Amino acid sequence: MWVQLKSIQYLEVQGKLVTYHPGDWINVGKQMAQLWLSRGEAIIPQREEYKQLGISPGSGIVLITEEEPGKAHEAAKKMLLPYSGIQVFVSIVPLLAYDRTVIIKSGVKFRVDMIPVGLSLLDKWELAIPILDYDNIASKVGSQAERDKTRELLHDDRVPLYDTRLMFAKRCKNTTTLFERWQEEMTGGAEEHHAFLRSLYRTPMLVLALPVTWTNQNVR
Amino acid sequence: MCAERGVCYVAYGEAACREARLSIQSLRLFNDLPVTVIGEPVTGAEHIEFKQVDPGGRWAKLNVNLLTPYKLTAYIDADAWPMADISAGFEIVADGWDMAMTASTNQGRDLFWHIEEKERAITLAELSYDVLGLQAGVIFIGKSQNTARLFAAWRCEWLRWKDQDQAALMRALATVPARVWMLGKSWNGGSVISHRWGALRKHESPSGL
Repeated sequence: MWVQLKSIQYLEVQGKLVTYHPGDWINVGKQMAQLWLSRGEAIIPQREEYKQLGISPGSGIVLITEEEPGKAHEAAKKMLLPYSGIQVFVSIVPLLAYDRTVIIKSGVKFRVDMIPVGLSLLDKWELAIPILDYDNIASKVGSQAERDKTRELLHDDRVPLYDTRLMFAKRCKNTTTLFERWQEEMTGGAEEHHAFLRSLYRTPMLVLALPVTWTNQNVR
Repeated sequence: MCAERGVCYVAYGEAACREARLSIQSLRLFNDLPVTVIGEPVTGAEHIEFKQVDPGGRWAKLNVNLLTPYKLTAYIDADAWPMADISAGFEIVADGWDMAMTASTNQGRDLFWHIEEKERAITLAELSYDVLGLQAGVIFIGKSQNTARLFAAWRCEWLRWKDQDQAALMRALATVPARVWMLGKSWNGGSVISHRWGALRKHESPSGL
């Protein structure tokens, strides 16, 4: 079992006494690991720390819904209970309402504790968005006309689509252009995922593709 | 003068050179591109000598952005065979994306299945979020500051364990982002570029790919 030490430990390795320091990773038997863990002398790799993260200032949620705004606000408040201070804007179209915006489309399933995680990714990235499906790619979705348009622009349509029901976007020149282009395509009646894919392609940016688990989908 | 577009392979040893030669033959059935092999000479390709420092030739691969003679490079693993026109990959980086590559077939619980336990555990702990594993066997690479920085970070991360390169890439990307365009599976292990995973690898993957 791999643990990371928080204390100095001396272990016998091939007949020699070896000193391990705080921060070192070592693979030890389960009993030894549990003893150290119980004493606080070691920790195991875990992903719990993000739950403690606060929401970055200037962040907010844009909830995409056609519900009556009052009702939508109530539902959002309930859903976002662990982050009660976060601002919520109800809209029928995706927009960059905050410096760091989480776009959530009504009905999408996701882990609420991933909100601060996604927002923290924007320290480095301009956009973080899950893949829609590993197998249901652009060449298999939408009308022939949409696929042709996508293939013509992207040079190849055997590429994954993005799940626009959940995304994290930093307000910057690139994301602003992306959202303008996306809305322009949507207003023209384009299919949502193809429209997003084409708009993204036309706006090269620091985009982090996330796995489908972000929208609670199975891995395969 | 630096050619606009070309393909780079890394090959050391008889098996890798044989795989690279077959891959180049397949590439040439569908593409008219210059080819360079880093490592040992392979018939039908230009050659760049580069000292082998690890059994898998990964150090050479991680230096491909510095060694490539091309402005736009397709790095292809020696055991991956182009089965179609690959020009779209070059067009994507020409259109402003730093790199184009595919997601790994192994995600979720199978992510980093081939990485040694310690590196895997530490990588997952350091990344701390559900990450989309990328497959670095086929990469279209443009010459940009972002790619230069990312490859530099990738080399640093790889030096921590000097083993496989995938987890090192994910750790590098977490600190040095780049404009990465996601290609579909056809591009690595599919109809455009097939990948004979296992031809040069010691373990079987959980997905069989």
